[in-house]
Amino acid sequence: MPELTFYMKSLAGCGPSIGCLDGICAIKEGKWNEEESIIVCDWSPDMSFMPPRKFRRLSRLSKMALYAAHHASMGGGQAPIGAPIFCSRYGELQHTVQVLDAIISEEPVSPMDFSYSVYNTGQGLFSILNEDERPATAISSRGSIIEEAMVKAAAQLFAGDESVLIVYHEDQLPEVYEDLLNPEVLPVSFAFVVSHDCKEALQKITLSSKPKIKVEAEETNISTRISNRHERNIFKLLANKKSEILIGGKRLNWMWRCESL
Amino acid sequence: MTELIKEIKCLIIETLYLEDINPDEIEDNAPLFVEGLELDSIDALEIGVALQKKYQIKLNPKEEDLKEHFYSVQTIANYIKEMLSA
Repeated sequence: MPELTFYMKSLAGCGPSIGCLDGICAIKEGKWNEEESIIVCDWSPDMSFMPPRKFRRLSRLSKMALYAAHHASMGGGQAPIGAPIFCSRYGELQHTVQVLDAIISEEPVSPMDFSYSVYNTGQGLFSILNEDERPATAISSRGSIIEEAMVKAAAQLFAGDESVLIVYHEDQLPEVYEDLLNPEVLPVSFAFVVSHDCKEALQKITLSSKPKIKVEAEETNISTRISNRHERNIFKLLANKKSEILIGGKRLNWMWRCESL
Repeated sequence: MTELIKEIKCLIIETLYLEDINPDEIEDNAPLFVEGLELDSIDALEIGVALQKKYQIKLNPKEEDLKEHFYSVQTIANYIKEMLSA
């Protein structure tokens, strides 16, 4: 794959360990919790940008995704925001588990849980919120999830979109999985707008990949395999807390580089 | 407010996460859908599931008058009374 170059126009994010960061200024001033650990709490992002009735059903995951997407797209400068790309590895697993619990207990399934357990919940809600009928994308991937979103974004930019909004969102796994898998999936969501236009850009991002010469045996450490540490490191890179990172996927190694403008 | 009316209002608020509303603010005869509380079809399904669970009744989704029974809190209360006495 040739090296891909993007210009990042905005960035926003939220999560229990970082709070609500509605733009690059807040991100630069934000206190990052370097001692990351599994967080179990009732934290929820500030949803004051939406009417209360609109977000009453939302999982914390959807709230985080909408918060990040809203603030990143509002800070996108003059360029119109291209059709968004939402990506999450585990998606609305909380709602899915509630549906499964109801089935196992032979209780009626909540229509709300069922409707909001689909993979494109966040993307669908964002489209409804913005009355945007353009096609949008929801991506799930076992690994390299943001890299897959970036490749899709590159295709959209090549096809004529002026900019693309990428939204990564992940919440803690439901307790039933924690006992089995000992996960290190920390709740976080971040969104950023990328473009080929460098005007008023915050960062220049380059992304390249190389095939692994030897495909390594499946990692036996379950915690590492299911962690979202890579994605959190990408957020740190975009927030200018790192200048480059090398991420080893199963078959490809990805190199991310960021340069402040 | 009768006990049943109050129960239904509390059930609606709790089931639909209407945290910003008190039972007293829901009028007995005001429309629940489109106008009034502006609930939608998913809310209707959710209320139906909650009513079936609470009152141990079976709602028939193919019943022609079902939509009218769900018009307001009062019509729901009347319908529940009718089902329980059957």
